[in-house]
Amino acid sequence: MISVQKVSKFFGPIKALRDISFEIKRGEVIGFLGPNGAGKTTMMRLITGFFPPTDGTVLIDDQNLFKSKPNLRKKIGYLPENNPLYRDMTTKAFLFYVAALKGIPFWSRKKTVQKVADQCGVDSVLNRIVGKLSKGFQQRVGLSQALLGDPELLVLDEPTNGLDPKQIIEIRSLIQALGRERTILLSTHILPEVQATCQRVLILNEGQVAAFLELRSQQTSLEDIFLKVINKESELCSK
Amino acid sequence: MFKIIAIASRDLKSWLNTFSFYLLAVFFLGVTGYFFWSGLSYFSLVSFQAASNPSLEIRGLNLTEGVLSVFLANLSALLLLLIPILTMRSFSEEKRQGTLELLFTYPVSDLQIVLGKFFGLLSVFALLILPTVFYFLLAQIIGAKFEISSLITGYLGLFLVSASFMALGIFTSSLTEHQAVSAGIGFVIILFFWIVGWVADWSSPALAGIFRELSLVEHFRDFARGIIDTRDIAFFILFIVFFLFATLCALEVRTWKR
Repeated sequence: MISVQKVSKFFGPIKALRDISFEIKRGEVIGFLGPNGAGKTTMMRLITGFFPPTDGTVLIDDQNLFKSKPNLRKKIGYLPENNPLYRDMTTKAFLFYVAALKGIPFWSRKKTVQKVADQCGVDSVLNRIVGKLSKGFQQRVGLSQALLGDPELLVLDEPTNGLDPKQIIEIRSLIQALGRERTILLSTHILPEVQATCQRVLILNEGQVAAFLELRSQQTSLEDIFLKVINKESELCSK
Repeated sequence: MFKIIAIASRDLKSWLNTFSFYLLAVFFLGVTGYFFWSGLSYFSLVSFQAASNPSLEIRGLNLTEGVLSVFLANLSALLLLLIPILTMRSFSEEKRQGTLELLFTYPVSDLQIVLGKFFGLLSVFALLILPTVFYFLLAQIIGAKFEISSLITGYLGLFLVSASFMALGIFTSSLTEHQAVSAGIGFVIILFFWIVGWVADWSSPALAGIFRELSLVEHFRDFARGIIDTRDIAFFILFIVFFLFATLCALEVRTWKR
């Protein structure tokens, strides 16, 4: 599904990502871990085609997002960090707008929006202004916008950021339900969340892949693995 | 095409949902109404004097030259302030909210985004400018007979001038996420194109030609007098295309390899 080959991304003198390669198969739920500034968001932006890499290639289904038609982007649903939304629109208007931009034909828009709204539990706030909703509902609206058009790949950048425990549990179970038929990339700081939802974890540190491992086969807890990997890396760097 | 319409209508609706649009409309219509009324009153005064005093020069004393072109010239000066206020939101707002990131990752090309924004603003502007047509209908009732063709030409010119300003304003708004900065820069550049023609009168003939051709006012003047010149139309269209293209480049900077 996703193939990242020798990818680097520089912002001027800052080397956000250095020579990263990995493959993600269809139907996997992958957790992205790493300390702040490790390059998680940059990696997600590369995969969703927000900007191209400085070096190397990112392929979605063996196609380059910047060389093929915009239709390839229909396969990707993206919930960016901090969940940007048009705060002056109603939820309904916003979802219809996104449906139009994603090229869903107008006769099936109503059905599609309704289906997604039911799935994410925003059915009750369809007629309310997005900016006035509580943070949990806004997060759900963000998730619904990503889900419109039934994308095969979902990229979620810190979807539970700033939510209360109940909302976190709700969003988590939603992601688990979605993960049964989709490929999901999930970036987060909360380790138990990864343990609960993901099959594999990719740990980034200082712009490089520190570890890419199967969760089920591990004997030690994720916390230990994470700390070990991160510390080893920084020791190497300090030497 | 549908995506362009979707973006344009979203922008239009979001303008209609803000209070500032109605504030702007009241201010705009009030001031233009005053311009029109004072122009018409002055014209009737002058024509009355001309009628009672046969020795007076009455060349150029007609409604097109005396009222319409003066009104349009005043109106276009008002646009100098109005257009940057209209355009400052277009990309700056999306940048600040972060929704531009969503747009970039949707199956929408950058060109569609730019055109959608442009047409959205054009329709907002059309809503502001359309009521001024009623001034002429009202004047018709009290007996001032305007030529329909010169009226249409004048408004076509006004529309082209404001579309040019808008293309420029959208460009400055794509450069920054601060609305005030974008409006400020937009105002300065529009002002430049406004006053650059003044230099033409005292600079060397070769330079004067360039300055005169660059000036938006010079190109607008013919329209306001009811003359359609293909050179003027070509200038406005080139101006619009140039700045929309510059906007497209400003958006695509992120995809350049660095």
